[in-house]
Amino acid sequence: MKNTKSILIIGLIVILIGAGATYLFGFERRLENTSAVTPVNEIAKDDPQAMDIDTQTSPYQNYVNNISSGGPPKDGIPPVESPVYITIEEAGQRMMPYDKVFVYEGNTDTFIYPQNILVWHEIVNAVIDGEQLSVTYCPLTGSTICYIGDVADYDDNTYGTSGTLLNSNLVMYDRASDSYIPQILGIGINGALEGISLQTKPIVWANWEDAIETYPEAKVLSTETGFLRDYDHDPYGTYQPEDNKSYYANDGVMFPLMNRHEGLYSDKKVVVGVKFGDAVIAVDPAKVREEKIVPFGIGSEQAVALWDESLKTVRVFNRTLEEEQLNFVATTNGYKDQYDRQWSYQGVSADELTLNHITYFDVMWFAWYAYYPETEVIK
Amino acid sequence: MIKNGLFNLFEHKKATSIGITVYILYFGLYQWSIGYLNIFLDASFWKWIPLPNWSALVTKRVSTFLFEGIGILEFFGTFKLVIAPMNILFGLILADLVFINVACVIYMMNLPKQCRIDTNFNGLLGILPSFLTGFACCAPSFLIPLASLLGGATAVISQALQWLFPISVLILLYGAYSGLKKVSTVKIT
Repeated sequence: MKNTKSILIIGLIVILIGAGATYLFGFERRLENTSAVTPVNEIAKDDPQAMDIDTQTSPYQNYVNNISSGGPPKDGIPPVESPVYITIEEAGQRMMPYDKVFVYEGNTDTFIYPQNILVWHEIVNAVIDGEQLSVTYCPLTGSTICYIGDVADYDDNTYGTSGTLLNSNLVMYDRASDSYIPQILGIGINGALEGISLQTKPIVWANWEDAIETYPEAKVLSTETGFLRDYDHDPYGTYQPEDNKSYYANDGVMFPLMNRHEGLYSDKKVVVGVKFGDAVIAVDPAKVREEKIVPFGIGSEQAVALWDESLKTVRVFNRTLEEEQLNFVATTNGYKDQYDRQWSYQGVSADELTLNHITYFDVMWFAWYAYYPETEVIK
Repeated sequence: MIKNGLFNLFEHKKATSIGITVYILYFGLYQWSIGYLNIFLDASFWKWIPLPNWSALVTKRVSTFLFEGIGILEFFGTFKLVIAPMNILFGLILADLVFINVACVIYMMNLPKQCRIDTNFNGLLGILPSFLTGFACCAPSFLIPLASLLGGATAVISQALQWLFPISVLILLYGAYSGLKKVSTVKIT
């Protein structure tokens, strides 16, 4: 009995010491990681010329001041670094027709990213058509944006989850410079990327059944992500229409906002946020669905929001092509311009002209307004 | 004092057996509460499925006191346990402390009435906070209904939840210490 007692006591002590050491070791590593990156204020101290920019006059300091911790540490919500793709038949075993997916149309292949996988990872760093891309998704703001890895002096950049939030929205960090980039803003707010906008590529929301009907050969992100997550369960609820207890449907925001809207729409109403330079416009997708074609001006450009009947989503294009403004009318499988040219929903004409896209993405109204209270609204 | 207390506990069969039962139940409940133990009726009787990159994940944190799983253990055709060594370590620490607290209570309750000194065991309260540790990560299901009532303040609650694990440990440690102190003073013969 005495031996048993001694073993148990020693075991308990070892366990306690082991736990303490491991946690402290982890903490040390975190400190090392943190100190490897110079905080914005330290940069200012080292470089007197930078002081005004970083601590006094930076227009981005207000964003930095409003960042809050989301709970997990850096990359605690782990991005998918080496995406594995499977066929629609393979993926179909775990997907329901109404499941939300994000569709990226590459030059040669189309890629489908299921929302129920992205909700656990928020970022997929992938190389598509030889280009480093990051598919980013914030479940709290319902925004999916595809960013290009080439930015400023950095090539093939990848992004991670910082574990922090701004306006309840994912704050990414750039792996090369450790600059923080709020996902909806798409601009670095500190460090080397401060003030630099990331370039985007269009990625659209769709239901699984519409996506696979439109793109039967698409490649689908598999659950082999390198991490163990319950991909059949979304911690925030579901996108099923009858699930009104879901985070995605009820009113209520979980984290502080810089600006609170005053009731034009409900918190979680999805709008299409459109950005061109400093100009921002929110387009109500219901209007586009009804009218099919909604032309509007944004900044110095003339844009058009078109309803894609196949994916049941909104796409936004610059409608100026070769210095001429195009006017569209809806057809059964796309659009026609004033020259009787047929255009696909993807903005490609029969004679292979391509419309340029303007940065746009679906986003919950509260989040769009929190960043852009000056936004115009097309409703 | 602690040595004597533990000695007395382990000599008492009823306290030890109930303590061990609670130990096992508590450990399972803890793993379930953090979302790492689940019931699946299609599970194998015994199967170990490691992740290819498991060694890189051993000390990778998901949240303040939660770590990445490195593989799945299916057992008894019913359970799937995500094996995260650090979470298991933390679960064992809590279960050890719960064992001592519970065994002390049983021990004291089995003393003759005239020998009972103080049956107030506040340390058992420490069991509760640890079950909420799992909420502190990215499983905000119970925070969602609160969001519409509390708005941005939900974030404060989310942050506070991360400290339930150390709070649990501290309360249980206090309970174990005071329990052993009491147990060490009286021996059931």
